[in-house]
Amino acid sequence: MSAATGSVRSDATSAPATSTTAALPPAPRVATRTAAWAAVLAVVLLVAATAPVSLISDYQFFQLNRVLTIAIAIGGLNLLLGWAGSISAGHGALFGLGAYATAILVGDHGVPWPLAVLGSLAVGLAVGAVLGLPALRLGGLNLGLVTLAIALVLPPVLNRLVPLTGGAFGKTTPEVVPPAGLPFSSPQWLFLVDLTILALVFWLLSNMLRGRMGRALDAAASSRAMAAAHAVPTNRLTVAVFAVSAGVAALAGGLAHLGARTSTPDSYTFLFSIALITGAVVGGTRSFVGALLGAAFVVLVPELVAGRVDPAKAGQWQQVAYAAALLLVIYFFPTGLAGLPRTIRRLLGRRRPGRSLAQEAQS
Amino acid sequence: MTELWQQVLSGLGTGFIYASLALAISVVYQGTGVFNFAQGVMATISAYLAWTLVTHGFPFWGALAVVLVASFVLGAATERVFIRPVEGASPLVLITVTAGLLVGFQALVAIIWSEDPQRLESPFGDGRVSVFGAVLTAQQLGSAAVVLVTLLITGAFFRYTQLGLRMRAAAQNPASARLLAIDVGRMLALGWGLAATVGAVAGVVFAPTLGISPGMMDSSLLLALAAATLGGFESRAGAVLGGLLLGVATNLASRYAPGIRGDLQLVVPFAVIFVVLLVRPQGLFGRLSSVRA
Repeated sequence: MSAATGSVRSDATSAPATSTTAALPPAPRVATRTAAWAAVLAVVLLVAATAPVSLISDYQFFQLNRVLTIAIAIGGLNLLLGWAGSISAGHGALFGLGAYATAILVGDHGVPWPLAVLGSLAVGLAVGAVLGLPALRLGGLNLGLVTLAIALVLPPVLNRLVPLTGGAFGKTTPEVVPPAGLPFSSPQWLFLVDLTILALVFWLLSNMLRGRMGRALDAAASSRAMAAAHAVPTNRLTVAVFAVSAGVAALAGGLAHLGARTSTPDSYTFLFSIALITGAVVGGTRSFVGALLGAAFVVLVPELVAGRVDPAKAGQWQQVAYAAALLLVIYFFPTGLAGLPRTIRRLLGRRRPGRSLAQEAQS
Repeated sequence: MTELWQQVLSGLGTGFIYASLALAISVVYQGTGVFNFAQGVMATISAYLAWTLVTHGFPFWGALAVVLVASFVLGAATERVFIRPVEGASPLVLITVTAGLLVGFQALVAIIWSEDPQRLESPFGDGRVSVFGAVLTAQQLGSAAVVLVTLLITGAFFRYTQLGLRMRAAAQNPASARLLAIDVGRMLALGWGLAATVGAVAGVVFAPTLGISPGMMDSSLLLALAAATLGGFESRAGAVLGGLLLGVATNLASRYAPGIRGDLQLVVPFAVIFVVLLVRPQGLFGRLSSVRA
C-alpha cells in the first residue's frame, strides 16, 4: 500500500514543517567547497599540531573536545530539526547510549578505542532504526513522544543495570594514549581525532543532504502526502533519517566519553537533550557551521553563568539561560547564528519585511 | 485475589493524576495542535503556590480556590506571551517552545522555592476506608473523588455550555470559527488557562501523596502523555480513560513484574507509547482523518 492513501492526523500535519528550497542558498560547486573545507581543516590540524603547548592549555583542549563532540551530535540532530521537520527530545540519551557503549567496550572488553567508537555508531544506528518505527505512520511529532520517553527512561535504567553500567558511579576508562612517537598530550591527540571525525561526518551529511535525499526530505517535510504521491518513500526515509541521526549522536557520545573518561547516568538527563536542541536552534538548524556555533554556546553557557550567581543555584540559572536563549532565537532569529549574516544583509539591503521561520512555515 | 483488587484500586487512585494531566494535554492539543511538554511543571507551580499559602496560614481548601484562579491566569498568560508569537507555526516550532518552557519553568521553580522537597498535609486526615476488602487511605479516596468531580465538570463545560461549544469550534476549524465571529485567539488562551486549572487540581490535591519538589510531575508527565496517546489526543474522554488504565497498569507491573520498581516504572508508559504508535497510532478513541495535499 502506498503512503499516499495512508491516513494522517490532520491537525498535526496541516502546517508544513519548514520552508522549502526557497530558503536555501544556491547550491555551490561541490568540489570547490569540499576542497576549501579540507584546506581549512588541514591548516587547523597543522596549527594545532605545531602550536606551543603553552598557547592552549590541556583544559582548554578538553573544553574544545567537548565543543567538537557536541557539535557532531547537533549536526545529527539538525537532520531532524532542519530537514526532516521532526523533533527528538532524546538525543542526549542517544549520546549517552553511545558514551556507555564505548565505555563498556573499552573498559570491560579491552576493545581498542577506534573500534569501540564504531561500536557506538552501530548501537546508535540500531536503536535509532527501532525507535523510528512508530513515526512511520504519523511522522514528525510522534518521534517527540518516543524520544521524550527514552530521555526519561534511560537514566534510571543506567542506574539499575549495575553489572553492565556500574550504577550511579558510572564507568571510568583509562586515558587514550597518543600513538608512540607523536609529541601530543592525550587531549591534544583527541582534539585532532575529534576534528577529523567532525569534518568527515559533516562532509558525508552535507553531501547526503545536497542530493536526492535532501530534496526528498524537504518535500516530505512540507507535505508528506504530496511527497509520497511523487514517489518519495516517506516511510523508509523517516526511519533512515532518524537512524542516521541517532547513529551520529551515539558516535559523538562515544568520542565524548573518550575525552571525559567518566560517564555517569546524571550526565545524560532530559536536560542535556534540551541543551542539544538549544544548541541546534541557536546555531541554526540548517547549517553545519551553525552546529559548531551552537555547540560552543552549549559549552560556554555554564562557564559564563558560573561566576555570576550563587554557586548552589548555578545549575538552575544555566537551565534558565538555555531556555531563554532557545525561546528568544525562535521568536527573533529563527535562522540562528548561522543565518545572522543573511538576516543583517537583508535588513540593511532591500528593506524587505523580515519573515520569521514561523511565518514562512505558515505560508 | 484481595491483593490484586487492592493493587487495582490503588493504581486507579494514582491514575487520576495521569487522567487529569492527560485531559489538560488533550485540551491544549485540540486547540494549539501540539502536546504541551510544560503541562506537568505548570501543575508543579500550582502545588508550590498552594504550599506557600498553606504555610502562611490559609486553610487547604481556601488555598486551593486561590491557586485554581492563579493557575488559570498563569496558563492563559503563558499562551498569550510564549505561544502567541508562534501561533500557526509548524508543530515542530511549537513543541520546541513548550520544551523550552518546561526547562525554564522547572529551573525557576527550583530557584524560587529551592530544590528541597516540601510536605503538604493531607486535607482528608489519615483515616482508612475499606472497599470490598481492599484498604484505601482517606487521602487516596478523597483526592480521587475531587479529581473525578473536576473531570466531570470539565466534560460538562465542553458539552453543555456556549463557551465550551465555541472553544470546540475554534479548536476544530479555526477558519470557520472566525467567520462565526468567534475570537479564536481568545479561545486558545482560555483553553490553556482551563488546562492549567485542571492540572492544578491534580497537582495540589495529590501533593500530599507525591511530595512537593521541582521534579514532582516529571514521571506523571510521561505517564499522562502515554495516557493521551493510548486514548487518542483528540478524545478528552479517551485521555481520561487512558490515564486510569495506565495508573492500574503501572501499579500492577511494579507489583508483579520482576525488576520493575520505583523509577523503573517509567518503562511501562514508554512501552505503551511505543506499542500504541505502532499498532493503533490514533489511539483507542482518536479518529483518523485523511489530508489533502
